[in-house]
Amino acid sequence: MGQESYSRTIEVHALARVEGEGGLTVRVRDGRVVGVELRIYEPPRFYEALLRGRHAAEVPDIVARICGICPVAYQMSAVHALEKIFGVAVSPQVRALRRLLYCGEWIESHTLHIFLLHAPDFLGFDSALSMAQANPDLAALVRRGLRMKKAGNRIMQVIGGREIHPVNVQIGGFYRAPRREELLPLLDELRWGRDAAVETVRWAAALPAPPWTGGYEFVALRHPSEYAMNEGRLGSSAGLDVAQEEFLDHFEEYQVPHSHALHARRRGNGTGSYSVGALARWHLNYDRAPHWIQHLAHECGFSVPVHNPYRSIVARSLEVLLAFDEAIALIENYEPPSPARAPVTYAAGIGQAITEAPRGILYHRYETDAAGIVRWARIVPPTSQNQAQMEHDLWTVAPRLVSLPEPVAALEAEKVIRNYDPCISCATHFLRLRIEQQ
Amino acid sequence: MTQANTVHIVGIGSDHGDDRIGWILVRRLAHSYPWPRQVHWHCLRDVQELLDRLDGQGTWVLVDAVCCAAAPGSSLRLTWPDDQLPALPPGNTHSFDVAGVLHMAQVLGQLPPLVVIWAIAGSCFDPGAPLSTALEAAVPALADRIAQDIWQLCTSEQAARP
Repeated sequence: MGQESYSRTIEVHALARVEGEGGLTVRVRDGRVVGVELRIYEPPRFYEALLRGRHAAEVPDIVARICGICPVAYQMSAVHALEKIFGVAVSPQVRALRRLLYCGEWIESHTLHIFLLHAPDFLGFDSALSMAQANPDLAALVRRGLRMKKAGNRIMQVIGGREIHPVNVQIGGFYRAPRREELLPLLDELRWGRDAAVETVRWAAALPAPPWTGGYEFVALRHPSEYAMNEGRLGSSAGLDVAQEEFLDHFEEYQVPHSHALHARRRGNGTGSYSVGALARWHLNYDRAPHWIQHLAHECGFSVPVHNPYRSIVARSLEVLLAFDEAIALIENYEPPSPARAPVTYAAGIGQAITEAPRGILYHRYETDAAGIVRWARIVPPTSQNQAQMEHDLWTVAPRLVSLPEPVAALEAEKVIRNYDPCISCATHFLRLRIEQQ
Repeated sequence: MTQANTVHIVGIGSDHGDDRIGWILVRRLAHSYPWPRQVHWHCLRDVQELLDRLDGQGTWVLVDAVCCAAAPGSSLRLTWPDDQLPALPPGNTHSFDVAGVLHMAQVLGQLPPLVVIWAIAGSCFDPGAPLSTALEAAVPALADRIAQDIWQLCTSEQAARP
């Protein structure tokens, strides 16, 4: 008897609980997966072209608009790149205040993903709302997450002028440095948040994570003495250790027909896919975390290497704890920078910088003329860099999806994507799953 | 902490075209009448901020623009919960909509006893656009209508006080 050819398409038309719009297609022929596509169809936003012809001083406020969740990351990569062109050295106080601002963003972004977007995947709910409705304990969990998020938002509000798209960052420093008495009232809530973050690490580490086999090349900044946020060399779990300015020598963007967002690959590492974000950062920086946080991670069974993307929720929780802890120390030791901004002399040149957005490394490169006008801009966001890795992960789970009913297969595929907390608006910038049996 | 008799008036909006009507009306109302002290005024850009502020007390009046088939400047007064205020699919993005915030507030025990929503039909929501002429013309009448509603709510709150 001749064997009849059988094909099937599993499709997620619009992925839920991610930022932005995209879809997902898995093509199956004769029970074998023949294609996986992460389709990002949110329209491109042309920020790099929009920046051309604008003055460098405008850049931090323009790029902040790329993302409502991680505007600080865009501002930080931008000012660091532009300061390299203009030879600006910021004061230690400005440096500390920038790190505090970044702590605020890590807290608000990570807690949003942990409690409202990712937790329902582990606990069997379609949303944080239905999770909170299920029982008082889960309602308390959501309430805790929202309160922690608010603590992060408050940091951004006090330093950045507002919670979303802060307006206080400029090349050389800040338009206005907050007074010490403006920051001190945040301490009580941050101390509560640190305790809540310890509980969150224990809770996240106890969540059931599906088994996973396979390795990753994790890429992140690495700083000699601190958990990398704003500074450091570019490192990877495969031994890469280069200056930020060498990013384009080792990584390249490329276009795929099915996505409005550029993919990125590591030159010369086989598949080219690599992973950025909290899990990557923890791998490369855990020894820079305070000893008690390292000890807590170990105690919770989260010792590197961890090559299971479902456990990224633990890495995010640890980074929330780290950010609360660090924010407290930064405020306790805060001295307002005076002046709030280092002097800036605009000049022609090329500047590149990478900082650690909540979702991973964010690369900016600018070319300016002598008057400080931007002649060329290039931005490589973390979600773009994770796309190939997300597709690679989908290839890994796709054989298991084939035999599942459509809604279950779609949900399992979405979970794979949500492990990365993708921000499609940044990358384009997400999700619908389609499994095509051919 | 909100007092039980506090009436909060919240304009929700942005700088984009008719989406600013909530802010415009709230600012106009706040400065146009000698309101009792129990009335508090807020202008929010991110509706999620509302979730931070709701604490299960008082009366809350939300004024927000809506994109719909109705004539620009026409208004609809709703009392939560109302099926005419559909929620976006749960958790579709990092953001909540008004209904999502109110649902979550209800689940978390933060929903005040009375939430009134004034939905104002807009026509232009283009980035950075000014208020449309149709809405600009409708502002005085809308402000009067909402003002009367607030007075009634204040009066009923005072009447309900022990």
